[in-house]
Amino acid sequence: MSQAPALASEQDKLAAYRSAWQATREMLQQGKSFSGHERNCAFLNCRGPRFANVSAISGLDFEDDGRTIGLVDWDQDGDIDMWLGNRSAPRLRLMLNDCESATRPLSNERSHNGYLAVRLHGTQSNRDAIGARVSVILAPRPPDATGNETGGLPEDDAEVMLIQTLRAGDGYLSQSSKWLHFGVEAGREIRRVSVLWPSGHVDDYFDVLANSRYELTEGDAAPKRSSGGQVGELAADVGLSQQAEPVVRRTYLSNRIPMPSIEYRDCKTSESRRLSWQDSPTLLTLWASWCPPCLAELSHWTDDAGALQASSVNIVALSLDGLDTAHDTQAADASRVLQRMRFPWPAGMATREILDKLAIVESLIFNQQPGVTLPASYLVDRHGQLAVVYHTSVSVEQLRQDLDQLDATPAQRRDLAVPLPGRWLHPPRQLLLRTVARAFRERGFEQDAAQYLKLDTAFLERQRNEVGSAEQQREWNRQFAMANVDLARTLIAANQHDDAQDYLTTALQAQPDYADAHLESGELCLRRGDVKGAIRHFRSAADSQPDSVSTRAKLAAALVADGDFAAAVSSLQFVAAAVPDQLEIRAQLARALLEVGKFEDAVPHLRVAAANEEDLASALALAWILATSPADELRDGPAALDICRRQQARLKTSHLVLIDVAAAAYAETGSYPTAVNMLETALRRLVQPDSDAARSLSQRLELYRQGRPYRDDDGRYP
Amino acid sequence: MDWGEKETPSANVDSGSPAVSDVTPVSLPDVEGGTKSPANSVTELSRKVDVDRDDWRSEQLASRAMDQLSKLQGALQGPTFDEQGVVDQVVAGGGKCAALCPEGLTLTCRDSAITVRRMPTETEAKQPVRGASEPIGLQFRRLYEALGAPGERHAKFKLFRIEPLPEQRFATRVRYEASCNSSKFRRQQTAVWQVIWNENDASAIGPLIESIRVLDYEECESQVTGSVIFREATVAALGANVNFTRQIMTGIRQWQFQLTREFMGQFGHNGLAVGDVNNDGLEDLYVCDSGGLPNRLYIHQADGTARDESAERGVDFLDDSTGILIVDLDNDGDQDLVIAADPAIQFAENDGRGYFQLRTSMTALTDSMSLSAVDYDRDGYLDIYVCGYNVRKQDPASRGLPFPFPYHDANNGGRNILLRNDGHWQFSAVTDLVGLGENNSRFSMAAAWEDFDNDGDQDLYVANDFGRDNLYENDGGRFRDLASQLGVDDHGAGMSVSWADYNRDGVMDIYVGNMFSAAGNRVTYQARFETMQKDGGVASLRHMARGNTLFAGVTQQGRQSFRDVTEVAAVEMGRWAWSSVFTDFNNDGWADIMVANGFVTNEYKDDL
Repeated sequence: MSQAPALASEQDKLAAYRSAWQATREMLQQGKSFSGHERNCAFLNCRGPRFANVSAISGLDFEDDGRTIGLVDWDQDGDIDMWLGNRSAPRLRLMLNDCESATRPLSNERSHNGYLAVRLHGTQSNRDAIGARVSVILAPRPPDATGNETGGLPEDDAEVMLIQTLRAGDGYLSQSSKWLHFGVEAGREIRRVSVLWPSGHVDDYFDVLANSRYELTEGDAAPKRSSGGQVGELAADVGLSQQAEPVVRRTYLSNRIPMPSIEYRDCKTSESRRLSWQDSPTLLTLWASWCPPCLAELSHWTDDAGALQASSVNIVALSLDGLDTAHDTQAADASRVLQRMRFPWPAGMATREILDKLAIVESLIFNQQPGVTLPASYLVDRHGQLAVVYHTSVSVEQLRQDLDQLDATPAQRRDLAVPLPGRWLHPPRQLLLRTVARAFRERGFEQDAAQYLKLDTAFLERQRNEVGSAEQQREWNRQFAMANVDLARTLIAANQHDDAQDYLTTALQAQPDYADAHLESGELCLRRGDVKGAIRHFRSAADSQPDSVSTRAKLAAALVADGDFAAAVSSLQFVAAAVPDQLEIRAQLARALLEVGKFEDAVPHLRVAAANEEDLASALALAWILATSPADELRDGPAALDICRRQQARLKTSHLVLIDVAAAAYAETGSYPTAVNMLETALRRLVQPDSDAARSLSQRLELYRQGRPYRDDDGRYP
Repeated sequence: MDWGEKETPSANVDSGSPAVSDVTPVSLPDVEGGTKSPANSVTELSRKVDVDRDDWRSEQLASRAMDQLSKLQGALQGPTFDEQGVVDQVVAGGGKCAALCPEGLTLTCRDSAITVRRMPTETEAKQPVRGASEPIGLQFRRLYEALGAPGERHAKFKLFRIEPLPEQRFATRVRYEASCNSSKFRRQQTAVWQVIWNENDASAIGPLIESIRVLDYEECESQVTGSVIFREATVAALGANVNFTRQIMTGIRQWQFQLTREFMGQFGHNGLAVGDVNNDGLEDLYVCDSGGLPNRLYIHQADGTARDESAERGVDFLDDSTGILIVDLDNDGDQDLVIAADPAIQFAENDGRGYFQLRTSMTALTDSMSLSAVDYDRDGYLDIYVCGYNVRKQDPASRGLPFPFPYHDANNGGRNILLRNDGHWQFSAVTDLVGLGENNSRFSMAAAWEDFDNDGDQDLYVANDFGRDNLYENDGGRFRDLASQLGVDDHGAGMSVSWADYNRDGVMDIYVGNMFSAAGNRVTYQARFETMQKDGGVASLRHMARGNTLFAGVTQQGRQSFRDVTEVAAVEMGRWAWSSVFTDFNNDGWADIMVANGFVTNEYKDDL
């Protein structure tokens, strides 16, 4: 038993769910949309229960990936304008509202709606007066001012009260202006403005005119009319989309990543070669004879070979000819091109494995992974670390500039990595080599993963002396143990068990109670057949993870394998309590309880386990106890018989143990002739009539012939 | 999950060609059984509960119907209407229906900007107006012509219900939206139809429309020649800034090819805030950006333009920034800044002239999203509430696509924190102390404060992704979550929240931004979905797919409560909504609604 199956099924469900998310992630990485091209919506309040969808008339229904809305009367012309923030370009839009513009012609002799804008200043309250409630009381509308076909609403004859609260932050990631803006319907006058300040103080303002901006101060009954309207008018935009500019796909890495091992076939010698990154910077470039920009690039480098060689860069060109299904070219085509060009650097053929490894590295760098594209180049520093990725042609000038910047310090690298200058709030984040290793291991490159993890442990080793406080020491021990266990797991996956054992030992030296190290060590012991050793490690793991069900399940399995049922019982009880629906665990627990003679305790678990009719052993064990137990309260002949009948119906073949148990059940219910008949038939068919089994059958047959049931003190089926 | 959309070369520059022209894709043979094709997560989830695993035959029907609808969409968007083409390809022989733009519409709104007419509901209409039954192709022509011509036409269908019928027929509900814009007029049609399809004709390319019944119809037009309510002035306001092309006109999608995931997530969760930072009476704008791109402070100039002065004013931060507030934190009369730039919330002091100095920072243990300021304890100092989404991840790329569990009621999100302003730029996290620790492990996107119970202190609504929202009642500085009790927990993918008294009854109402999912609607409204889900999950999964929510505040026996009036108000269709806010954009004193939406527009069409 490797893992409690109940846990596994829970984990299966979770895994399926996770995989749906993972698939979504991958899809986005490949450049697919997800609810993209959606148009913004606008709903008009029609003064009744229902709004109207006016999205297409609003002028706001862009297909942007919209996010934020900042409301503000930007041009101070008396209506609400909007700043819209987007994920897509344009990242920002200024939308000016023209509903009250003097230039808007009026229809139907209607007068314009008006507005009132107020800015609050707290004195007792917070200075911005965030949380203040402003009520604007409007006078009834005179009957002749309606001018509205749907007018005549009952409330035209009444005062109305508009309320708004001043907020800082609403919508999503947005904060609007602190000028509160009230629309004032045509024909109505402002009777009163009332402010309930956050302090609880109330100010009423009576001399307030529509179409004005006021500053109101807490405790000061005089509204201060603000000049406003001093903002110049902006022209409407035309041809916004012409402003875009493509992004150059050159990425200078802030966090350099050590390159994986790269083996290619040399163009000239056809020998397999392993790229060495030592001593000089390397530009690894992917190209193909059918890719014109690639050819241009290679020939530019060749033309400037002298200068490039002086800067001691080593260029390695790997061709994709023969790999791409859309082009019918071969290695020979690549060689011919390079010969004709007199390409002075090493060249070879790329392999699927190389492309896979580069894709893994790129998956750690980019959110978007559109697949392999040409041209593509990778500038690697003299320490074998990837420094610049190009998904574009590399000019000689660019290459020389990047070579000059290879020696940048880690702090400088981050500044070189961003396209526009600015300042940082936080120190750089480091890419963990364990993350790189995990990515390689998940794709089946265990050797590369192990290399990364060795770099990781070596990196931690170097830090060992810098560890100061006891807390730092504990954290270092934890990290170091984790790194070593990760490495051991990778080596186990690569079947290098002895090496794995060494790293596990190192991990346990750093952190003796590290459960994962004990679990992996236990598994290794089991592989070697060292059950006692496994038990020791699983027990240590269980001690440091007392709540872990899977750890206890492993310990129990090892104890059962060792025949130590007495010790196994408590672990199995723990597991059974955690996953009560798991029948297989119940069966094992029952078996262990029977082994240590706790028949009564075993029966309830057997009953649960026997619900799975496939579990013949539990069914028979249960039926046997029901038929033969010396304890009267445990015996239940008809139930035993019922179990046997169902098993017989399921198996449809004769089964010696089943016959024996069924006979005992018949005897228990008083059907001695049936019991006798069954055992006689069975004994006649036995191949080895003088076996132990045959002898005990004969003994029971004799009892039944005498009209006596069988009683088994042991409780385990013999 | 979107479909049938034309690639429209609109002003959204992201929908254009690949970022770079000299890049050639390489086609490698498939090695591992091809790529997976995931579906909308609600659909995906629904499939997981499907014991029969027959992959929802109805989804296949829906997909064939949608292929047909996209032909119809093409016809409705064309410069002329190809009636014969529609009849040949989409309509069953002899199919008839009543008018698609019904007669007897009611004028429901007319103001200086817009006229709205709609079909009366069955309860409103004294007698139902159906009109004569005529061939379906002809009815589509009339619908097309009613929108007017010539102009830039747009049409869109969403198939949001499906139920199989006997004899190779099936019933669907389809949402139809179309518009036509020209210099002379702008007009929009919005409708819901019941469409019956059949697949009896083996020679047909797909299912054919047998009948259409109009369940809802609304049309609106600009009152004034060709006008829109809003006109764009982005270039006019920002175009003179040196970084305009690179920073404003380049989307997150394009940056993904240059900027690494060490800095930048994919989803563009970057906030903005309006406020007058230099005390000149003109509102300025602070705009957060993704990691690796500097935040910008645009100073409003007297000519209406906005000038980037972020570098000289000390706020051009490159760290990935989400929430932002411009508020006076020290009550000295100028506007300070609060910026959520993980792993910390940063506070910067204004020197009175709009130049900033970092004063303090508070570490946040989760991915921070929206910020809001409030004086919850009424001590005269503004406190800050921070929404936490994911539990902290090192990688900004993980923000916004976590593993919430369970999907419809996730409780493994990050904690929100309330930072009490103790004066002198000291802040203390008091979340648990004040009772805001209750129900505080959700994927919170946004929060907004309002005194909904009119007792003088500010209460708090929190919009949570993947599950239930919170409404914390503030009682003298102590909070209790009353969302379930008041029926506003709004099971959904909560993205935003806004308060207003939209119906002018003196009680505050709530509008919550969520996700509309056509696929989620289709799947969760089928009879068999109900039989599969026994634990009451159906209602919540349906609610999750419905879209935005409007809660009307009501007073009953002196107690505040809320009614879900979303469907009556017809404001659910906000698509994949983000900021969804009340604002009175036509100055008539009634709060309207604006919804910013759309999740990820990448190089390729939606596969979801």
